[in-house]
Amino acid sequence: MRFGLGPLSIEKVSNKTHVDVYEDALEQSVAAEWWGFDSVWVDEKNFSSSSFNSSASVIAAAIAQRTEFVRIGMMPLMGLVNAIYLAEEAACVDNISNGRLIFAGQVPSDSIARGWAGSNSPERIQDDIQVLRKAWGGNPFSHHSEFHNIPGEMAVHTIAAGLHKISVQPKPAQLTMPLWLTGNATASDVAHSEGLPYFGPAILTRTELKAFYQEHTQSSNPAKKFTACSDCNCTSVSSCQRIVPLAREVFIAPTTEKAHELAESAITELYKSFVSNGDLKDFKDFKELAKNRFIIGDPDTCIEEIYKYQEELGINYMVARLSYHNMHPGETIKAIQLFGKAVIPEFRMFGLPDEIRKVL
Amino acid sequence: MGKLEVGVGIWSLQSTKTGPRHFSYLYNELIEDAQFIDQYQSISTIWQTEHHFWYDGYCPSLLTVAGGIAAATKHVRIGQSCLLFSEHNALRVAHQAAVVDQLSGGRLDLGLALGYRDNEFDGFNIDRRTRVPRFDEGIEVLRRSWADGPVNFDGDVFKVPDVNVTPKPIQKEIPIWVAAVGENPIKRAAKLGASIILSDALTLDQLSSHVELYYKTADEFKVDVSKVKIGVLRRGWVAETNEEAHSEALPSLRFLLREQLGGWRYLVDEKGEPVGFDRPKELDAAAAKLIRTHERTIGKPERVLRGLKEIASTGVNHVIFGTRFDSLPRKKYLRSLELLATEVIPYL
Repeated sequence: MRFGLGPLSIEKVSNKTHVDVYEDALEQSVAAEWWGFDSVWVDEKNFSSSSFNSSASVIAAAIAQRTEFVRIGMMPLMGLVNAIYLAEEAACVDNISNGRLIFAGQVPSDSIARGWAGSNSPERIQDDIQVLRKAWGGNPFSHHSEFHNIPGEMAVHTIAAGLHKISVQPKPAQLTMPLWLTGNATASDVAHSEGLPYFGPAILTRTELKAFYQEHTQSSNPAKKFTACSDCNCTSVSSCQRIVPLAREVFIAPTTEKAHELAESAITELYKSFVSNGDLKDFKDFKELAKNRFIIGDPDTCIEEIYKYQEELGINYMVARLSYHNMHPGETIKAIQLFGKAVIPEFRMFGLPDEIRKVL
Repeated sequence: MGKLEVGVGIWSLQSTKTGPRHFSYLYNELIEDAQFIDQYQSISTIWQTEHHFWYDGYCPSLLTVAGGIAAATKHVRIGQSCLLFSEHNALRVAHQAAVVDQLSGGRLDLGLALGYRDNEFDGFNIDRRTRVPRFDEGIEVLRRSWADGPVNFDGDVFKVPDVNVTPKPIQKEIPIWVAAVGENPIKRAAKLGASIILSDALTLDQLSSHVELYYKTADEFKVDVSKVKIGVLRRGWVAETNEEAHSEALPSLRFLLREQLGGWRYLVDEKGEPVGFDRPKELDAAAAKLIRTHERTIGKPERVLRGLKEIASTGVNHVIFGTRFDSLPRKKYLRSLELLATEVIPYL
């Protein structure tokens, strides 16, 4: 199992300057790198009154500058503009970070797509993916579809006449850019057909997520008959290379009571904003909201919960938010540290003796 | 008019034929340069430059890279000379510029140009002939995006509904600089009340007349330009002696200018036809002429100081000191920046 931190909370906080909000997010990235996380994730939100981050690539470049080893998961919105822009920006971040980028395209909501006169249809997302793959590939390319006309080959562009192709530059540092998807059912369908790792919606409960992860539960549970996955020539669970990621609200503290005390108001506020956006039905209380949805507690509780997701959904890459905008940044850093010391080793250190496990 | 500000640039992040480098090296070197410059608060701005689909990887995504510069620095402003605005989606530029401005604590100077290469417009499937309306409408999209409330813009090129772009920039108004090559662009910038970046090909006399035209036009249209900057790109290099500076910088500068003039095809003859590599003598002559202009800011500190004061006397109040030449030893390059920051700018 691998672990990421995020998506980082880059939201409006009263009594705090904007610069400090970004600085907190960058410090959390550095802490995650130090405490052994595999990746740090940044998304983008458009037309949101509380968000300070409408450009994942700008923040990803900043994280790349502050960190040295940790991978950077960038979740830009797709389907809104010519995909060449996304390809170029990702290649720049990949070079700033010496090849540490994971590109996890986000399928936008209907309202965001409308704001940009873009589209969140499966056809559009698939077309963007094709442009990205061609743009990052080694050869010059052309791409003519309902959504892109690359190059335009307009008669008026006489100096470009006869070329028929373009080459997007610079190329990423990595030979193959990791390409994942995140978002609603459209994202799930496209990810499935394109063979891409996919994040199920973080706001769904574990039970609700099963529909999105059905394929993987078969291949990950040794008790069941093994079925090879569609995009990996695996013959057994141990030879399967497929990445099955999951993003969750997580918070950890030395005791479960303390974890709840710190996390409840922070996560409640976040989820109220999802309710007001129409992404989630209104909830009665935090207990009802958290059930089978959030991972909150002491290290043992968190470990136990993550095992459930591993067993029931077949996940092998957990991205834990841990970072909430209305929480004191010092508490977030402490949670990152505790998660790195107490939870990650449980899943990474096969054969860890109990005597060592207990030492924090 | 005020004191002459000096910024440095222009970072293109090219892995050239004569100085091929891994792109990660180039991007990391930019970040190191930014930190080096940030310690000298006398240098006001770092300037980036953009092209698309060019064989040597010329940087295409300036605002993304600016995020890295912002995280690496605390004082220096971050500018673009220039972002090829007509080749972009203005709403995307509005979002990214606002985030860079926020992340940097209000240090963005957004430099915009029309763009001119057929290959770039064709790659994006944008008719080059629409570049002026795209630019003008794009500026309006930026201004509405950064103002309180929804954008609500219905132009011929850009149509943006009543969405509210967030976050807003930290600066009340992100300074917009416009590349102004020729009389019409200067007049257009003056009408907008935008700061300008004049061409690196202008002599001192030409600079004076361009500056005069800018203020005359602003006056005519009653635009308040009291806070604008009049910038110009001048290639420059500082060493302990004039001889060292010349021997270090001139061969690289000659090569760079010749490649730009021939490859980018912005040198045109009297018939308006672009002059390419197929007309080498004309290219050489044009490069030699340009070098005579730039030589005045290449030399020991006293000479460069004199050259910058000459430029200031034309009414220009910001020089983009172009020190980025290909394949020069890094130690000498950093020494040139240090001398500029400590032995030249403080005496302006």
